[in-house]
Amino acid sequence: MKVTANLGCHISFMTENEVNVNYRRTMALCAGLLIGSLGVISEVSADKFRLVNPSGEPMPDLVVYLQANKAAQSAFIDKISLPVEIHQQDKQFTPYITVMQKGHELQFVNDDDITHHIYSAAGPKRFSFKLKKDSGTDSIVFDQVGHISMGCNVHDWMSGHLLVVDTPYFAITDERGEAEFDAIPDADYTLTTWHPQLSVDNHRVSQQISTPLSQTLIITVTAPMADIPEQKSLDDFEFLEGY
Amino acid sequence: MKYWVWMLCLFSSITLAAEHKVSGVVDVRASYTDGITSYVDAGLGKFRFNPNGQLSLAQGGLSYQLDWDNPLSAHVVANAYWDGVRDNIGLTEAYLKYKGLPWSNGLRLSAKIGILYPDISMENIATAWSSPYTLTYSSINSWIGEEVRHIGGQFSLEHLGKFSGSSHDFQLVAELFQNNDTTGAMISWHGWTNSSRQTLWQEKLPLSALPSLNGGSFTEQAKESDPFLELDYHLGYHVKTQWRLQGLGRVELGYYDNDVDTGLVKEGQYTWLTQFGHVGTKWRLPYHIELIAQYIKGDTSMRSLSGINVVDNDYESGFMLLSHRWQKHRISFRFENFSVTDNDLTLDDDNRENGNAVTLSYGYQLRKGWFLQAEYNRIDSTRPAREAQGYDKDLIEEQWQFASRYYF
Repeated sequence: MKVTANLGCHISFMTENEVNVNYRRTMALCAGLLIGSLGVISEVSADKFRLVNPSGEPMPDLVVYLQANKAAQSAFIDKISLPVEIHQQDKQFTPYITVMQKGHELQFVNDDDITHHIYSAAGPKRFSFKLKKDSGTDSIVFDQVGHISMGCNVHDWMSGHLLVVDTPYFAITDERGEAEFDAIPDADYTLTTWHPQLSVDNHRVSQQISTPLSQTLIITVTAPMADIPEQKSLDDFEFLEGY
Repeated sequence: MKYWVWMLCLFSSITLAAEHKVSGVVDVRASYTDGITSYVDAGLGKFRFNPNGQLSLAQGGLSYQLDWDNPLSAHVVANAYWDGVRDNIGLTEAYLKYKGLPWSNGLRLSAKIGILYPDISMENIATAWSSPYTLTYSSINSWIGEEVRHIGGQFSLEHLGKFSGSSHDFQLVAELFQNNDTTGAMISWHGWTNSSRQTLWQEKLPLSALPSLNGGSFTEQAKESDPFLELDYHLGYHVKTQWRLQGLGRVELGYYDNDVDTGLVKEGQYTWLTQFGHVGTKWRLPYHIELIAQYIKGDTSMRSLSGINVVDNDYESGFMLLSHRWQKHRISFRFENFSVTDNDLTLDDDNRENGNAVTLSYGYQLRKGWFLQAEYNRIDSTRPAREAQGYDKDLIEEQWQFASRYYF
């Protein structure tokens, strides 16, 4: 999915399906309709980041987000975007990691032919509901920032993570470890990298940057990454009955 | 009339907010057994089928679940066997289950109350307590399925490591139960078996014509054992602890004691004190090989009215099962070793036994839910009590099975 906003204030949406495909790919979100309400924004630039580990290998599937150091330079996303979706597919949270802006809506969709019991038992937003086969929830608004770790009380091996951020500038790195933003207003930002398996406080590391960047900024993530838990039952059979 | 209206209202209000789920397994099996009369048919043969060929409904299992929006659910499991040995249909489990949500500290409480299995088997995890690995169960779990069940409550406290970024989970299980005062009779009087039957709640188990039971030492004993009987109104218990390493495996350790007051006989049924410890593991080995191993060791005793321990047996059994699943195929191999040691002085009741068993099973998944499975079983055992029935005490029994198993 790519939602592009520029000074011309046009927003291009891809198909709904593409919107639903999750945010595993590099994604860029920028201020759209509200830019006008912010008054004057001088310049914007397309900026690219590449995350590598200390050996220089790319780090895919990490969340990267930018927060302007001066509040006035924060931008707000328009309200017409579609709800973000998290699916339960083959008894897995799909995608494993989702990132969204505060105040936006999210829907859970069960693509499996069994009931799941989705819960968040800790963190800024707590919920639990049973989701029958081939059904979805109503949209849920997430109005607090933070990390929401989700599980299924029927299938303990299922796990998914949602990060709610207070900025429209967020992305998940692609297989090359890259995240690209199409139109970032020129300013000073705190760039934060986050992953639930990043073994540091709050699972995140931050640094200061200023845009525009003259070239792709290579960020070396020195914090160790724990193994990503496999969302798979130890009992390898489809017809288990909870014995 | 009013009563029925009231009942109907109650039933609708209960079911409206609930989800019904029906699942089952139909196991149609062709088998050929080279052995002696089955223990199911009052013999001392260690398989469930009598010698020679048999076409059977080896298991018709039906599981019904009523799942409310809260953490409560009700479960009923029925099984049918139409195998030419003992055809029957009835309940095997019926319980209410509570599975709470984890708290923010990662602790989770769950409970079951009703007709239950003790939480021991690592093979019998599929619909209606069937095993996805093999058609026959190991000797340990064949025994559990035959006479180690009860009415009771099972309480579990788990700590889920993912709440604190750990891949380790821990669980403590405590069970309290009744209706198992004759547990131990079958392990003593016919020994270990490789079966795929579960005793139905209403069933009684025929005893072999051993010298002690056939006008010998135990004149009070009925011809059949009633495995789910309560005679002394004592509560038995089972405690278990489990450690799980996320995605890799689990190890568990438990102790079972039915805490029976021996020396009672009612309606031809003696009370048996049965205690055992068990350990088990399920682990993912390299090359996608799954390992399951369980070991059990314990004793069982029964006292005459004169106060003498007329049956006093130690027993142990262990198995190792390796299973490999790739694409639509699964191949499983199980080796087990078992024994019963007879410590009492009742001369006409020789329960000594030792032996080993090998199982090789291959399954092919035709489509979702439908499996074809071929299996070979071999039990090589020594049981002196067979001599009184005209057989050699050393016996090798073999069995070939081909099954169509449909899960829905």
